[in-house]
Amino acid sequence: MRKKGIDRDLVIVLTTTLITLATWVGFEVYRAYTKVTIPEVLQKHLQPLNPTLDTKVLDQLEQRDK
Amino acid sequence: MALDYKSSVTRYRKYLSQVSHQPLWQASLVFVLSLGLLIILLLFVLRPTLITISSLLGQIDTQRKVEQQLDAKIAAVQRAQQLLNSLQSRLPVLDRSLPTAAQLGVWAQAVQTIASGSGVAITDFTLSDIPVTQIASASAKLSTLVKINFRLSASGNYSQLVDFIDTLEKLPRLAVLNSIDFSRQNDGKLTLTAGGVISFTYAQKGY
Repeated sequence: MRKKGIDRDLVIVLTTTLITLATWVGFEVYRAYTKVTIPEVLQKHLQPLNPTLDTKVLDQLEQRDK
Repeated sequence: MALDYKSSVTRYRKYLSQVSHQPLWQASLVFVLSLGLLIILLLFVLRPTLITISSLLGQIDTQRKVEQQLDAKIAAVQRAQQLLNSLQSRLPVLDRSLPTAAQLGVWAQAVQTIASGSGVAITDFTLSDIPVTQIASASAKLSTLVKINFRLSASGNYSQLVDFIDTLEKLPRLAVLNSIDFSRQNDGKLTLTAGGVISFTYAQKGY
């Protein structure tokens, strides 16, 4: 009876350890997937550029010259 | 209290030799060892492998987003270049309105010229807040707009002074007048005191 008790305890401990490890590995995997940093130099190049030019200012300046 | 491990090991071996032939014990041992092996594999084999795979997948995903953003930026730069090319002939007006250097001498000469043309005499002409010590550092900041305050006094009759102010505002270089003050002198002439701001930029224009 004592041996069966030890076996059952051991199985419970091992199963719990396995579940804990699996959860830990899952979190680590998720963190590794999401924790990807872009270099600062590249981030500067990624800043969006507005390609429009305010031609009204040019019109006003040309009108002013006339 | 010395640990009597020899007798304990002997008793354990005896116990193992007795129970190792029982089927239930064998099945239990296989199950426990399988769990242990699974734990070891998960800890030392699967974990680093999965982390490496997910890290690489994350990098691929990020690089794909970076590529999309860079493509969008390249397209924006190309559109800007096309727009710049189409406006090339009109852009010099910007240089005249907002020069890329102080050009204070040129502007002062222009003011003197329009004063002579209007028939007014400039009696005082002050330029302040000239960023002489900041020029070196400001030149590094391409979009820096530098403002220089000016203050001038001129004498003449009313129509001459109005003509002078009108022409000053129409100079090719932008000058913002902040204050205009007329006062009468003893000889009946008017004195104009005007203050304002002229600007220039260190921006490197790409044309």
